[in-house]
Amino acid sequence: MMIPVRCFTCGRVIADVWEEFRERIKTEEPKKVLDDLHIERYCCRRMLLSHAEIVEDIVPFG
Amino acid sequence: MELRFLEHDEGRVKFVLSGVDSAFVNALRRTMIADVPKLAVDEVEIYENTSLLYDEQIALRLALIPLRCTEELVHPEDCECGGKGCEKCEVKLQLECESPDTEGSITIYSKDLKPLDERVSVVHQRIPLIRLTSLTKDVGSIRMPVKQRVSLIAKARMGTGREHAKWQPVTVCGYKNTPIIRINEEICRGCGRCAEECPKNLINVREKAEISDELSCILCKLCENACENKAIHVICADDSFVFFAESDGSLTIDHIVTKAARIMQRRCDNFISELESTAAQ
Repeated sequence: MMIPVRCFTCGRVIADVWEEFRERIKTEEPKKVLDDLHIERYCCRRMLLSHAEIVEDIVPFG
Repeated sequence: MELRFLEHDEGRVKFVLSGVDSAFVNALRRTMIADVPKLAVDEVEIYENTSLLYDEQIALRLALIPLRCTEELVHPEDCECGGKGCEKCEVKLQLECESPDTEGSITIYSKDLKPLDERVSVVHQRIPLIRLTSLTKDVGSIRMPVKQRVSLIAKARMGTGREHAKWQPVTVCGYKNTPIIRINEEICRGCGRCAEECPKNLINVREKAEISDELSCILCKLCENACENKAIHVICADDSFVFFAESDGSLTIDHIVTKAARIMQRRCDNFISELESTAAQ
């Protein structure tokens, strides 16, 4: 629904870079963006890569 | 005991600790994870919540936000107030937010969480907390704006990782035995198979195989299997460890490591005094 605050595996805070990541991957390579944002471990990288923001989609049902 | 820093800044540390056994390093690791106290939101008083997230979801998101405090608070169980919550063991944060007046939505960030105590501050400013949306609905023949509102007070307390992961001050915290890579130069033919196999690309082959950064070796031993002549050997030292730890931002890594060591020291002191008093009886 909303981006999890922390990585499920290691606990690093990842939500603070979510919006920047979402904007930048429209024009840039996700790999480069993740490296730029210092998301090093693959557990944290998958949090951002595989996230689907659906909070807007459920508004009509709220 | 010998200590050598490889990386060191406010948030993360990597060092080689030699002359100790694995029991000691593991005790240090476990103490850092489970016993170093830090501040986190523990109780939330929700006065109004018409957002899409349940109360529990908001409370969980609040609890995971790292908080920084200028002075160390007392654990509620050890406090004079008996855990009811006073200045010494509790700080409060407030969140008051509303969706826009016109149709549309806004995101509420961790920076909108207002500390009611000047000692405490939120580390990360841009953690999205809640999404609030305004809709217009037709009620009979009238168009009515429907707004969402959240109003709450969060109480942050000290705790340890043993109780809940939100009180765990470190994210990654672990160690490995210091790798030692031995190459028998008499047997090595410089075929380069070991270099191809190494996932960390630590081996360079000119005439013979050479190791560039031994400490980065992950002890996978793929190079050993690849070498037909058995010229390369990966050994791990059992009295030397590469220790790495990363803070979640709420405490500095220096504070976490020293505090963990102090806690271990205090436990040993308690044990000694207990032993002495029992022996005296």
